[in-house]
Formats: sequence, structure tokens, C-alpha cells
Amino acid sequence: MDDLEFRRTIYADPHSQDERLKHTAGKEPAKAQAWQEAKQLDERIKRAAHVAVPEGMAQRLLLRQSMQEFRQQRQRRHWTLGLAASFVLMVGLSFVLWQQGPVEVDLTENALAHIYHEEKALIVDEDISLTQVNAKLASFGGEFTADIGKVYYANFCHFKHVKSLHLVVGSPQGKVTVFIVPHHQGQKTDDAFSDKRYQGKTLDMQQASLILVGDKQQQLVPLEEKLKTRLRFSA
Amino acid sequence: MFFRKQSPSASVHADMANKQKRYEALVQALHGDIYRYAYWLVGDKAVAEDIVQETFLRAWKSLDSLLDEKAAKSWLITILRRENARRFERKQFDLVDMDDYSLADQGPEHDEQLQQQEIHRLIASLAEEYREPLMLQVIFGYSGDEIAQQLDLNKNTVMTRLFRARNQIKEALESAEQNRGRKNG
Repeated sequence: MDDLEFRRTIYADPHSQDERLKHTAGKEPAKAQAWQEAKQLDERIKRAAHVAVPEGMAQRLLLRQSMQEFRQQRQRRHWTLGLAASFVLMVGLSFVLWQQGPVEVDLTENALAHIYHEEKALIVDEDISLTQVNAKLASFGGEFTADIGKVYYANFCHFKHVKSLHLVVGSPQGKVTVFIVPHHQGQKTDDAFSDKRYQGKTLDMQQASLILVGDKQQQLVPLEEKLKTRLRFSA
Repeated sequence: MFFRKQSPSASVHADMANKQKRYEALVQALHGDIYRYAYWLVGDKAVAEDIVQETFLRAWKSLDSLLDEKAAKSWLITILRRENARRFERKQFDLVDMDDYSLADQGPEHDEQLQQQEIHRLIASLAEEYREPLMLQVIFGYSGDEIAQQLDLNKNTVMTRLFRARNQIKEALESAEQNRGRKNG
């Protein structure tokens, strides 16, 4: 092993186990001396490289890991809790909406719309008996206790999903349309209403609204009084 | 129902406990040398500790991929070197001066301590390409082949760098010695 190779080897790896290196060092004391010095230098480098580790570092590493793990578990919990909560909210909301139906229904507006829509009801004369009217009313638990005069027309109709009774009744001043609409959440009524052709009155009874609609000049009060006193609802 | 968390099976618990144990063993066995290596890589104690924290957190996350405990050292070194590189991607740091590990005790071994301090400074002043293989050899006891593998270099290159590293330190020490001799004489 020549000088250069020897020097390169002992400085690249002072603890080399190379047989040729040992052989060369065995023959030449100067080289053995140089090798010894290289080993001493390496010891000092090792000591210098071995810097002090900050105190408590292992504990900090373990702590940080367990905190991270804890946070992740919490996040996982939040995630499932959030899902469950929104599911419950969704069920709750749809239940409430399903129960309520449309938000608010203006009955008087509906009454007018109905009359225009079913104009034939004011033309026909089906001459309906009180018994027939009461048969229909029975489905709301209602009944006319005495004759209410001539009934031209009687049929079920729907006030925004609420099954109601549509009557056309005779009065001294001509035909009057009467709606009997069972009470339901979200209904809105006006005591008196009118448009350019009709005028109407609403009477809130115990279980239903009584809506009367007639021509502008008609007196509705007498009929209203008559119906009110004769209409009974079984509890 | 929805609010009740399914209690994890016993085997999952056992796996977690096992993972925790492996991790603690890894930390206890290697955090010192990994920290030292980080210190010589970045030259700053606080930054070194930060990088070691990041390294071990990443190690925890992918601990399942570490199958052979014997490979743990080189696995951690790889993560550490990547963390260090990432630090430079994030922000171009001003080159930090190596912290001085000043030695308070100035007893009879004062000379010896001064010399150790000198060597510390000389290691710190080596170019990174010389310092890194030297530290792998000195701190972790890596062979030339292992260093070559870790740094993805060829073995001859590694041996040359190791030689140059020690040679530079030796020559610097010798010239300092001569200067002192001249002043004293």
C-alpha cells in the first residue's frame, strides 16, 4: 500500500479492518504512528459530534405524539357527531314541514279563487236536501240542526289540502256561497273581504271557519246568523 | 344507534398499544443520535429540535410501514433529511452560525476543552457534503457502503469525502498549533 492510499484509508475510516492496511502499518513504524494519530483525532471528532441532547426531549416527543393522537380522535368524534346531528335535524325538519303543510293559507283569498274556478256551482240547481248536506258535514263532525233553506249545490272541495264543504244556499237576496273549512294550522282569515264582484264574511266557529260569499249588494248577516245558530259540531 | 360509538374490537386496541410501544422504544433508542445528526445538519439547537419533532411525528404516522426494526435508523434519517429539505423549500433561511457549545468549566483541563471547542467549530465549518457523511459515520457508526446507500452516492465518492473531511480538520488543527507555537516561542 503506497503512502497516498494509506493516508486516504486511515482518514476515510480510521477503524478500517483492511488487512493490507494492517500489514503496511506492521512494517513501517511511521505509518503505524500516523494511523494511531488518525484514531486519536477520530476520538476527538466523535466527542465533539456527541453534542448534548436538550433535556426532556424524549418526553416532549412522546407528549406531542399523544396530543396529536388525542386531537385526531376528537376530530373523528366530531365528524360522526356532526353527521348524526345533521341527520336528526333533517328528520326533525321534514317532520315539522310535513305536519304543517304549506306555511300559511289565506282562506278568504282561496274562497274567492274557488268561486271563480267553480262558477257552475252558482248556476246549477241540484236541490239538495238537508239530509244530504248533513251527510257530508258529518265527515267533519258537524250538523245543521234545522233547515237552512234551499241548497242548490253541495260538494267537497279542498282549501290547500284541507277537505272542506262548498255549498250554495238560497237567501232572500239570491244565492250565497258558503264554505265550511275545518280549522287547521297555518290558516289565516279576514273577517270581511271583497273584490270587484264579490264580498264576503268569515266567522270563526269552534272547529271550523264559516265563509260566506255573495254579490256586492247582498246582505250576508241574516244568513250568517241563521247558519251560526243551526250549525253544531260534536266535540 | 347513531350516538353510540361502536366499541373497537380488542384486537384494534392491542394493535394500538403495540404501535405505541414500538414508537416509545424508537424514541428512547434513537432520539439522541437523530437530534445530534439534525444539529449538525442545521447548526441550530432550536431548529434541530423542531425538525426532530416533525421527523418523529411523521414516523408515528407511517410506523406501520416500518417492518424491520433494524432499518429504523436509516428510515428516520431519510425522514429527517426530507424534513430538512422541506424547510428550505418553505423558506430560504439565512445561513445560521453554528451555536457555540461554550464550556463553562475552566479547570485544569482548560486546554483540552479549548481544543474540543475548536474541533466543534471545525466540524461546523466543513462543507455540508463533507460534514454529512462524516456525521453518519461518527454518530451512527455507518460503514462506507451504508453511507453511500443513505445519501445515494457511490462508495468511492463517500470515501473521498470522508478523507477530505478529516484531512481538513487535521490540517486546520496543525496550522493553529503552529501559530500558537510561534506566538509562544
